[in-house]
Formats: sequence, C-alpha cells, structure tokens
Amino acid sequence: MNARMRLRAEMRCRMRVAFRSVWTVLPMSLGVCFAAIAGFWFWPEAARWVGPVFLAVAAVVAGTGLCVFLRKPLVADVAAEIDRSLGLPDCALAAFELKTRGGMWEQAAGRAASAAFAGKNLPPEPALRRGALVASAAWTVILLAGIAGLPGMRSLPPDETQPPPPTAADLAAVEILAQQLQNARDPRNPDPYRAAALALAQLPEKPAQEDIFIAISRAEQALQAGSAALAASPGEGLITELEEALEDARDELSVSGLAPETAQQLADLARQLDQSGFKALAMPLGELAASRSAARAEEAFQALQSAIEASMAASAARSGMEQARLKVTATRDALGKSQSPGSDSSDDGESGRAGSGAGRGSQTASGAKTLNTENLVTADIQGTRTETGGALNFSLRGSPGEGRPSAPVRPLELVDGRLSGTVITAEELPLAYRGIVLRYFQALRNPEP
Amino acid sequence: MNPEEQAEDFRKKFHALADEVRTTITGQDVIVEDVLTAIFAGGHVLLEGVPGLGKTVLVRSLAAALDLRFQRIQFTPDLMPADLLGTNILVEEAGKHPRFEFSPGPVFCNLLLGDEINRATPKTQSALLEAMQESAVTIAGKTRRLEAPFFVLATQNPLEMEGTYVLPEAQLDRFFFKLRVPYPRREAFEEILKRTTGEAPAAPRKVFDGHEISSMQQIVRSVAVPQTILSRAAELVMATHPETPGADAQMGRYVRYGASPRGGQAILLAAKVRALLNGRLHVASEDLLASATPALRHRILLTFEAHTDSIDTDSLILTACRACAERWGTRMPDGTPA
Repeated sequence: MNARMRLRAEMRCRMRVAFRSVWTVLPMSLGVCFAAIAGFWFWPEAARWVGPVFLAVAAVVAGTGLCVFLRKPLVADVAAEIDRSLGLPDCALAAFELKTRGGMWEQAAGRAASAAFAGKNLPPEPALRRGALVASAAWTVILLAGIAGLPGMRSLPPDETQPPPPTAADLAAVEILAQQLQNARDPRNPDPYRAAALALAQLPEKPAQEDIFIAISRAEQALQAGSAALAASPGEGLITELEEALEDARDELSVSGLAPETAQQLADLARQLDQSGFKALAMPLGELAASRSAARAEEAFQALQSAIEASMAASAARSGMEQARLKVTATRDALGKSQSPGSDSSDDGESGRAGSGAGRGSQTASGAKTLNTENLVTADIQGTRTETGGALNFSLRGSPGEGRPSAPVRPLELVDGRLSGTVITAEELPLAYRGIVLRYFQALRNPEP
Repeated sequence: MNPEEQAEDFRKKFHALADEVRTTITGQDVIVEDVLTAIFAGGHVLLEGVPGLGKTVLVRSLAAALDLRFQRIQFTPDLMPADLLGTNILVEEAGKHPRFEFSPGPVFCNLLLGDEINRATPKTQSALLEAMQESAVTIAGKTRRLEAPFFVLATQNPLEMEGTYVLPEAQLDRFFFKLRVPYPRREAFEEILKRTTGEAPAAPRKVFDGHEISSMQQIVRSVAVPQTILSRAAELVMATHPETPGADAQMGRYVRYGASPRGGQAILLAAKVRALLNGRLHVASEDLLASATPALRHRILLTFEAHTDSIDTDSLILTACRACAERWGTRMPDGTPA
C-alpha cells in the first residue's frame, strides 16, 4: 500500500466519522458559545445579531473540520475504507492484520491480499464530502479573517459604526449635576456626595457616550450606598421615645433634680441608645439621668436637644441623598433618550422610569441629538448644605467651559485616594460590568440609521 | 505445496466433485455446493424439503463420487438405537464357550444417510448425539471410534407432521448446516424429467477418497482469519441474541434463544471454504454473511409471537446480517447494499 493511498483512505475515515457522530456536537456547542461571547464583546455596534449568528456558523463548520483533522483513524478503519472504496473483500484488512503474523498461511494470505489492491488508486472522493471539506476550510479562513478584523471594526469612523459622541449640552448637564452634588455636601456624611461628584468628573479627554453612562452609574451607586448607610443608622424610633421621655422629665423636674424613678427610666433609655449605636444621644442622656440638681439637668437638656437636632439633620440628609440619586438616574435616562434619533416625548415610557425628578419631559421634540438640560440645571439637589466655603471645585477634562454656567475651573483633585482615575479597583468591578452591559444594550437600542 | 498451490488444488477438487455430483442432480447447484462446503468443513447436514426433490439422490450421488463407506438408514418410529449403533450378540461355536461379539450398526461408516430422521423417536434420534459430536459410540460401556471422516446427512420432510418427532435442540445444534431444498426452476425441471425418464444415467465416478477429504479439511482449517473478521463472526452470532445491547428490536420480540457458539464455528468454517472457493487465502466479511443463514437457521429458537406473526428464522438472520453489513460497511452476499 502506498502512502498516498493510505492518506486518502485516512481522510475518508475522518470524514465519515465526523459527519455522522457526536464529533459534530462538540464543535457546534463550542461554536455557539464562542460566537455569543465574541459577538457580545467585540461586535455589538456593527452586526448585533447577525454577527453572532455568522460567527456561530463559521465556528461550527471550522470546529467540525478541526475535529475531522484531529481524529486519528484506526488501522482497521483505514483498511476497511480502502476495501470499501475499491470493492475488495477485506483484502486491505487482511494485509494489515495478517502480515505481522508468523504462520505460513497468514503470511501467504497477507501477500495475496496486498497484491489485490497494489497499484490501484482509490476512486475519487464523493462530491458531498469533498465539498464539505472545502467548505470547512473556507469557513475557517472566513472565521479567522473575521476575528482578525474585529478590533479594526471598533476603530472605524465614529459616524459609521459608533453612536454619536455626547454634545456640549450633554457634557454641561453632567458638569452641572456634578457641581450640584459637590455643593450638596453634608458634614455628617459628605462622602457619598463627594464620591458621586468625582465619579462624574472622571471622564476621559474626549468622552464617549458609554463613558458618560459609566460615570453616571458610578455616581448612582455611590449615592445609593450612602443613602442605604444612613437608612441603616439605628435610633430613629428611639428618638421619638426619647423626646416623650424628655418632655415627661422636664415636667417632673424639681429643684433637687429628677425623681429616682424618672432617672432610672432615662438611664435605661440611654443604655438602649448606646446599644443601638446612637452614642451621640446616649451620652448626654446618661448625664441627664445622673444629674442631681436642676442646673445640671438643664445643661443636660440643652446638650440633648442639640444631639436630637443633629439626628434629625441626618434623616434629612438621607432623603436629600435619595433625591440626588433620583436626579442622577433621571439624567442618565434623559441622556440615553436624547441619543435616539427621531425619538420624542411620546415614547418616553421606559426611559422615564425614574423621571419623577428633574429629568422628566426633558426630551428634544425635534429629534436632535442634544439634551434639554434646563430642568436639570434649575432643579437643584436638596441636601443639607451646612458648609459653604472651601468647596471642592473641579472641571470636566477636555471641556473648556465655554457656553456653560459659570463654575470654578480647577484641575481634578482626588479625595482620599478613592475613585482615582481610570484604573478600576476591585470595588468598582460591578460598576464596570454594568457599564459594559449598558453599552451593549444601548447599541441594540440605537440601530444605525 | 505452498498455501497458494494448496488452495488452488482444493478449489479444483471441490469443483470436480461438485461437477460429478451434478451429473445426477440437476437444478440444485447451491444445495450441492452447500453440502460439499459442510463436508469439507467437517460438519453434518440436515436437508429439509418436500418429497421428490432429490435429497436422497443427492446423498447417494455424493457417496458414489466419494470413495467412502456409505450407509442409509430409513428412520421409522420403531427404529431402536441398537438398530443404529449395533449391539453385542451371543456367538456360539462348536467346541468353544459362547461369547459376545459386537455387531456394528450402520453408523459405522463414513457417510451416513439418515432418511426422514424426524420419523424416529427422540430416543433413537439421541443415539446419534455422541456419534455426531465425538465421532464415537459407546455400547455396553465400551466406546468405539468411528472411522474418519464421518458425516451424517439427514433428510426430513417439513410438511408431514403426523407420526414425526421434532428434532431436539441438542440434536439440531450438531448439524453444521440446515439446508432447505427448493423446487427446481423450469429449465432444471425439464432436465430432470429428461434424465429420469430415459435410460438410467451412469453412476458418478469416484473422484477421491476419505484420506483426500481429510487433507482437504486440513486445508480449510489453515485458512487465515484476520482478527477483525473473527470479531465480526462473533458479532454476527451475537446479533441473533435478544439480550445483546444494540440488537435489532425484532430479536427481542421474536427470538427466545439466539444461536449457540457452534453457530459461530459453523459460520467461520463455512466462510473458510467459501474463501478458498473464491480464490482467497483469508476470510472476508462477505463469506461470513453468506454462511450465516444455513449455519444459524436451526440454532435460533423463536418465541410464540414469532409463530403467530409467521416470522421464520431466515428473515431474522437476514435482518441481523443487514445490520452487521451496515456497521461493517460491506455489501450483502447477493451484492445488494446493506
């Protein structure tokens, strides 16, 4: 048997096995998975669903071809294929299996069997299998070319494949929003506002639409976290109880101070507040309970009153923070809506989900790719603004500030090393993923004209 | 002689014998070839067919063409084992003490024709078990070897069931082939009429003797079998077993017991003969498939459902053969794709 004949027989075996066995299932599954991932990460703007389907088909065919190539047929399979192709009665099989045996008859049979197919060539491949082989090779090339071209797709002119960049008005809206968040700092819990403001300020030189979405999502997340932290603060119900107890105590206050029963009740309440983490109230209340004179009690009353007012301010801060978050959400929805060509206020159903705040009805009726930011600018964030001077001022990178509300322009400063630039920390990973998802679905939502 | 020459010699002698038998038997070429195949494979043959198809004549012609001791037994319900095997008889001679002397029965021959074997009782039928399997008989505690080669060629009529006894499975399993003798075709029929109504045909001449048959049997056993073919033979037999994984659904429904290992032996030996006749020194898959039906048809026990659905063993064997041929990628013996 010559090597060429054997190679051809091997190829036939591979084709036969590949096209009727589970070997086709494996590349098919891998192909679908690969195509889904590839389409999701690399090609959402250009091809959307066509891209993944195209890649899936290519991957299936190429994977099948690969498995065909990798599958090593047994000698018996090759021999059987030769016999089948030449119409010989197991001569190749006998030649393969008997030539190594030692018996006289076996060797003679091996020789005779070899002579039966020696010098013969396998007939041409069936057209179907040959076509499948060629198709597999062609699809492999196309797949490789497609993968090689995917990165290039992203760098095509923006007008062709990417959504339009944000307008100056959009950037101004984001900057104003950031400024409002900056000014809405609360001495009791300033970090969420500051983090949100910085998140909005962390924009690249020429921000793309998805950069703005990511920044807004970060700001949202920061405000949501701050609001949740305040809501988890204990003692809100206790404050009411405390106020009632204080009122009773003031009524019973005599020259010698509080009655022992009343003092005991106040001490118990102080212990409860302390255990609930409301130490700022627990301490003056404890002093009140321990006071043995009217003068000392009066001082304790004053200190308690201040502490209660501070607690109430914290509650107000939380509601203000929540309101700020809603406003940020509304801004994000308004920005997304403004990027939809031809959209008007009539299809505002979904994007106006959080539009109860300033962002509601802020769409451009003309369908231009700009954002009507008037409402956003005029509706300030309601926070407890107790500090006026020395605010952290900033400007958006790459935005010269022309035609915008006057805002102090200073380079970006980092606060406590948090949200420091474009490096994504472990804590920010969920936000980053969310940004990618947003980017993908934004691309689906805004088809190319 | 080298193997090629031995194979060529075998082929020539086989065809010479077949031609000689055909001088008296017309229109049964396949049956003649199958009978000779069984003989050179060292097996016994059960010929089944309606009366008048030449079963007995075939065996007689064969016996005439071979220089062998031939015996014919007409099996009847009153036939006793001693009538078959022989017995010790008391011999009295003048001046001597009476003594027992063994009088051998007709089984002591080379070629035994058991005509209408199913007419004998199971007791008498069973007397042949040892002879067929061991080529020996045991009488009065003494085992006597039969002269080699020893063949039993039995006939039975499938129509007349009255006064007959169905052969037990153990007996059937000892037959190498079960051949169904068909009606001859029209041309052959005319030739039969012409030959049998004119002058008596000349008896077949003797082609070769028992020693030659034994050497030819040795040649058959020398034929090489690739390991893959050996596995396929086992696979073919297992395909008739209802409990085999992947067996055809019909096997599970219609087969109570599949073919025995003797079936596999018969297939392989017959395949070796066919390989030699086809000019090969090795067994091929098509040889296995061609030998399957006569080798297995009497070794498969059907279910009651098969009888009610008029399913016979031949159709089940054909199903198994087609399934195997498809797996092996070979054609059926008649040339049709699997």
